Amino acid sequence: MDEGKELSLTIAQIVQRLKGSHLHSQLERQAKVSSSRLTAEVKNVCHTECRPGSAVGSGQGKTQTDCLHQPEIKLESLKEDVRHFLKTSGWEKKLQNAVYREMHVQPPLSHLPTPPEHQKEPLVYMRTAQASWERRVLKSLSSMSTELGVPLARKRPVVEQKELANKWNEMSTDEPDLSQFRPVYAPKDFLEVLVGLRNPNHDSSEQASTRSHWGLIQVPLSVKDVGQMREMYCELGLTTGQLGIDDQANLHPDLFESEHVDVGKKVVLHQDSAAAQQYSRQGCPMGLRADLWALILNATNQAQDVMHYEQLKAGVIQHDMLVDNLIYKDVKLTASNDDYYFVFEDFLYQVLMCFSRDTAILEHFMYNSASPPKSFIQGKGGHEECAVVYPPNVAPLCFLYNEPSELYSVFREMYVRYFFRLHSISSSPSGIVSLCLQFERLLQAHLPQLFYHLRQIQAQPLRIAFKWMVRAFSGYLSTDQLLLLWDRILAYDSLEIVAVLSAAVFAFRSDNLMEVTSLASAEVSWHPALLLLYILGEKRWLDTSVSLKPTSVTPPQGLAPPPSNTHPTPTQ
Amino acid sequence: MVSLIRVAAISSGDRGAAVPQRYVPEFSLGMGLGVVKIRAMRASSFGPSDVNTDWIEVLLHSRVVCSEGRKEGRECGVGDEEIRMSGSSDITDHVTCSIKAAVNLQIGDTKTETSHSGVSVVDVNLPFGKTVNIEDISFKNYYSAFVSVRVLKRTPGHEAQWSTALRDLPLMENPHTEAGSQDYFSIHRDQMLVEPDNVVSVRLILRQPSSAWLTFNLEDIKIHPHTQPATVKEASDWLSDLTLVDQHPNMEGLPDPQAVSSSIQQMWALTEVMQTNQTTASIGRFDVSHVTCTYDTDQSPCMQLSSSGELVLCGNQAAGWF
Repeated sequence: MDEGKELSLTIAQIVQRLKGSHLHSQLERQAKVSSSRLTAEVKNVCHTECRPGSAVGSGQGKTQTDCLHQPEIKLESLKEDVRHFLKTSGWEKKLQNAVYREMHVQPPLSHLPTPPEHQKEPLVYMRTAQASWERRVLKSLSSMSTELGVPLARKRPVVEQKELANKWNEMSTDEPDLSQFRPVYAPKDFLEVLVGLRNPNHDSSEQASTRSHWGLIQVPLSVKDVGQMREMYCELGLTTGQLGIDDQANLHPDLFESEHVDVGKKVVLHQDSAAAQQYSRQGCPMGLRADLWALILNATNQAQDVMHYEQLKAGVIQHDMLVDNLIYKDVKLTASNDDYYFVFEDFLYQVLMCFSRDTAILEHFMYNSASPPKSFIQGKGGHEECAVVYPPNVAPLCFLYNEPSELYSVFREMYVRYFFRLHSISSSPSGIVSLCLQFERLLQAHLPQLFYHLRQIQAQPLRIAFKWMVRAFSGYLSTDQLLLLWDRILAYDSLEIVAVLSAAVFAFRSDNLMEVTSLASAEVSWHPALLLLYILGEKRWLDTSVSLKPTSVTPPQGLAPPPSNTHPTPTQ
Repeated sequence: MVSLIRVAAISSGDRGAAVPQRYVPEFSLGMGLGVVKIRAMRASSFGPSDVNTDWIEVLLHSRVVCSEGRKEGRECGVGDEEIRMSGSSDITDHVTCSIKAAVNLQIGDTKTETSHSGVSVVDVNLPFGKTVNIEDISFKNYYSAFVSVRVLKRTPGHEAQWSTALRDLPLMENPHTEAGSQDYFSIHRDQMLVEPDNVVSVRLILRQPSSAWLTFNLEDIKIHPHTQPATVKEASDWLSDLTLVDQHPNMEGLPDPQAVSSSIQQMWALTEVMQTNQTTASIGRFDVSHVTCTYDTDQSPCMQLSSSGELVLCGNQAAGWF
């Protein structure tokens, strides 16, 4: 297909997606306003030229209509004038941002008659694996429901609704008995599923050797190697300034920081998504981060977003879901015990409960290999919910946004673009399978001795790094550094940096790790009391890595924690 | 290593009965070779000249690959090493008729039993005497890395000639990894080196140099014919499918929308005039009774300024007041 046809198809698809959206109606309204203004100007011109008509009769009437025929000359330019108005008033920028978002979220579909499941995930065996994983999770959920006698979803009685509405902002003060609720699955279980993925057409008969893959993931996906990563992440090279390294106290701000902040302010002023994304590659200043992220994600906080949030809140109050209890327990165990995040506990409840009911997320299932389960409320039918049983990472966002509806829309956008890939099986380059494979490949290529040693002691590196990657390091890094990491995720529109960081952590601790003799002690070696992690830009084998200030890595010892969206207790 | 065995479906007197859709006979092959990738030919229209439409082809590989599901089928006899040219395979024209293509697989180059040759050939033939002008060839990939297309053209008055239409089109970015391995592709006539007109037969040569994969193939091969006026229409068909919402509904007996909108434009401008001319004594609504208007059913609704300076609408309502 030649490029012209492809371009017009792409444009048609994007137009289709934007049609009927709120932006569309706003643009229409603005166009009407401007055109009415323009015709009012024309009419003023007419007035000065024609006599004001007061007599009956077709004669005078004609003069008036004659006059009004003059605007026909202006009608041709009306289109151009309206366009010009939209450009100058900033609406064109908004449209540009919306188109940019559409192109990022879902690349334009090919014109070929591909079935929808192929668009979600082209590889058949991955689809089957995802489907069986979902079935397992749902089975677990429904067996929990029958065991505990709690329905999957039920309508709340009026008294309870009122009660919940009253203490909407202080749900953390509740102390319900949730001891019987257990987590639906742990990251370990998910890892086992990933490890078990096999392509039936893949010839994996050769013995393990120096040329074969030593890691756990046995799926031949295409991942970038160091050379390609260097090209893609060129802004993270040693010669470019980065926030987080080059703005430390001992360096003069004029070297990098102040200029960077100025550029940032200009970007926010211009309201351009693409520019914001490019800018974030070097980190976002703390004060501008909220605006920049909202701009990159094109997450607006207008009246209709607030209304949507209120609707979801009403939904939460009206119906009680089993998942809510799980969310509640999860948050209670993790965030409320955490030094950084306990202040946001109420926010977390609100956002997560709304999130689990948001049907707007359903459209992301077009490119997510997962499928939403349907649940039925007793008495009603067909209430399709998005039972995301692996609550994603909300807590760090609470640092940026204090308006619940804004927080909610940014969180939802981030989930729909990036974080859903961390817990569904797919062949996408940002999917968790690719990330694991990339991590293992990097490690094997650049730290073969370490990898071999860990393999010998039955401590596969992926088993240690998986829990960091699957949560995008949320809970394992301090918040300011985590936000710097997420800046890069947004800026490069890919989660690969998470895999690189995991490998970098291993590289940094390689000396220490060569000494350990078992998996348990390998995990213990991350204990905060034992070490301070200090990852610098000048890796021996990787020029590009996110550089962070010294911090402590705080995963728990031994067992994987229940599905958590924040980091676990640091005192473990 | 690929070898071809033609398997005849034993039809008990029921000539012309449709072969069931996908049929996988199960049988063990004593040579230690694994099973079978079977293509069942779905032929839905039979002409009197179609003699061999009941043939089912069986392909032996060195590994067990059983890709189609099992349905109840007929009994099958296996002839060993019968390699016959399939004289009649029908090509599916996705757009117009519904005849399916039969796939002829031939062995690549080497005859050794242990190693993959990495090359496979698919022949797609047209029924006798029929030539086609190809618009595009579409298929679903299954782990083939490269495809070359050769076409056998028979121009009237000349000998039939093979020519290369496309050489080594990459289907998988990296033959060792999964990207593109199960994707849908389409080769348009514009991408071909020669004009694919008067084509009698198409040969697709598949290459998979990587040893990582057990088998490779193309599935769902379809050839779409080129129709002169349709080429232009096809592009706009896709676009109009995408922007279907925009199509104006069939309006019989209704005035032309362009005329209506231009007259509405004028009416709206008049209302603006009226608004500024409004006196405080205005009754605030449109009053029909004061004016006799010459309403002509053929024309758009007429408007006149009444004696009190109000704008009056006669006859039928204007659509879409602002």
